[in-house]
Amino acid sequence: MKNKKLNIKFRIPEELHKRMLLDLKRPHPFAYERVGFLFAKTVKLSPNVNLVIAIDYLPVGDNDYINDKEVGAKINSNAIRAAMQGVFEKDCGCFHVHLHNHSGRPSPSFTDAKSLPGIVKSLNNIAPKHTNGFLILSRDAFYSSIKTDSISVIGYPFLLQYPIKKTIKDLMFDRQSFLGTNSQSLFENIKVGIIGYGGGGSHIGQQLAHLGVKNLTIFDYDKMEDTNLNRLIGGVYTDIKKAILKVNIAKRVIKRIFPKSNLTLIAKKWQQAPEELQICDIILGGVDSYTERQQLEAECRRFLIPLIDIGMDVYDSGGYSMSGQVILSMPGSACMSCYGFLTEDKLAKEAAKYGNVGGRPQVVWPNGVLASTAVGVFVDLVTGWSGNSDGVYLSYDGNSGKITDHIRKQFTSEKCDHFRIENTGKPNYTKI
Amino acid sequence: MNFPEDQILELKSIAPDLSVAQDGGYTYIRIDNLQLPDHCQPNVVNALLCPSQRDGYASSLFFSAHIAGLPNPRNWNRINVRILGENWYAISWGVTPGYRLAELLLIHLSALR
Ligand SMILES: [Zn+2]
Repeated sequence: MKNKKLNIKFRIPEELHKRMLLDLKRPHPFAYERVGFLFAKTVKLSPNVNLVIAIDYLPVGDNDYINDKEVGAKINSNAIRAAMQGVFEKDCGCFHVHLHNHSGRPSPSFTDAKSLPGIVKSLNNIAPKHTNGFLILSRDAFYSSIKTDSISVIGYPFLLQYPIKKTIKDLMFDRQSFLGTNSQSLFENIKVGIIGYGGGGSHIGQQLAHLGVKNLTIFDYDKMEDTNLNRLIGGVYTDIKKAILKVNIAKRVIKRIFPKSNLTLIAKKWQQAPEELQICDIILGGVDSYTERQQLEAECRRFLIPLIDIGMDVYDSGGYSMSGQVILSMPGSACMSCYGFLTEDKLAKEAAKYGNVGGRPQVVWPNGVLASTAVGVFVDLVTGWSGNSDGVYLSYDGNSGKITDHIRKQFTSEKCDHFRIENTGKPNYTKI
Repeated sequence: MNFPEDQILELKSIAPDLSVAQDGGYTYIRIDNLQLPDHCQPNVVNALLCPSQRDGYASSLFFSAHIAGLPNPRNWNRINVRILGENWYAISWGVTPGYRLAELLLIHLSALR
């Protein structure tokens, strides 16, 4: 077991990334470059996959630099002590960080290579149970002393760095090259989870396959039934009799469009295979209750995963009205409770109806509109092609066919108090 | 959410192993190694006490396992509920607000009788 390769995924919230860049860019009276410490929690997802989640950043104080012309930034024992204290208090690992102020992937300088391993060694002595190392930032990329599968910055656009592989030019994607030169290899490397392969999820799976999103994890514990045939894309009449699992319908559709795709099919509730969800970089959710949304959002926030949620409803209020929503729940920004979409009142009403939810109305076209919109939000998030970094809370009026910003969006603060960045990763229980 | 010191002490006299954590805007009191009545299987579990309104219940007690062997059938309407990175189970058990923490725990535990 010992020599089995350990895959590490490193996730950094955008807010921390911005804070690091701002701090490290500031000139110092004499030090040539600045240094800071990034605290990170490690979550073991499986014997060979670790998730490292950054939770806080500590700049080195102006007075804690030593004037040494030989070295870009030499820091004193005060600075190291402050980092040690952070490690103890937060019970986490620590990364020494500094900036090479250019674009593209940085690499360690001669002095970096000479001096930094010593600091990492002391960090490993202080926090032997955690992941420690050093990170060199450029304006838009990283060098990491630990070998990582991916390093991502969770925000808009989603910054994803993965080991350089040659991408093969494929005519299949000829017409979507405006998404950016890098877009196809981003689609090839990102791991996307779809929760629920029903009316919404089945449109999403099909479209992600067309886009060339290679690594998909699909969760659905249900089998195809008569009542699904009105909207489950790729589901056919004979699947009903054979009681085919919906995840197998997903496989059939996606593999036919994009045979190279790498599918993980989970015929269970995501709560029964949470590690498979936690490893995904982005989640698209088509779940059918508020309580499911609440749990899904909490889990995504804990593991720094953007969640794109869709849903629709038909109400009878003396004439039918159809409505739906697409929400991007971005860690560090407004959540579904901030937006007023998830409320105690809705959760209570839903709980009161428990057991007799019945077959709520669901039809193919609004599912398609909402799923397509969600896929659009996903593509923009990953490629940044539109440059629109505003949050997403779209409201769909099925009677008029209009999609507009939800009225509550403009009144919602972008700061979320329900989910704090320091609460990501392993829960922080305080003994009382 | 902060809990009054005297109520915590009172709760500790029933369940000594307590900690608190927050998730999604809710504050939970975690009770490790909570001793349940002898007929319960298992009869030692971890639990999460949520003293505030959640899912339409004024307060809730989540168990780390589904508990069998109860003399009265109960409606376990919250199964595999994901909170604080773990799966939990709860009985549909309405408790009116206004109780002290220790009372709250005992009233929720009475569902197991
Ligand atoms: Zn919030």
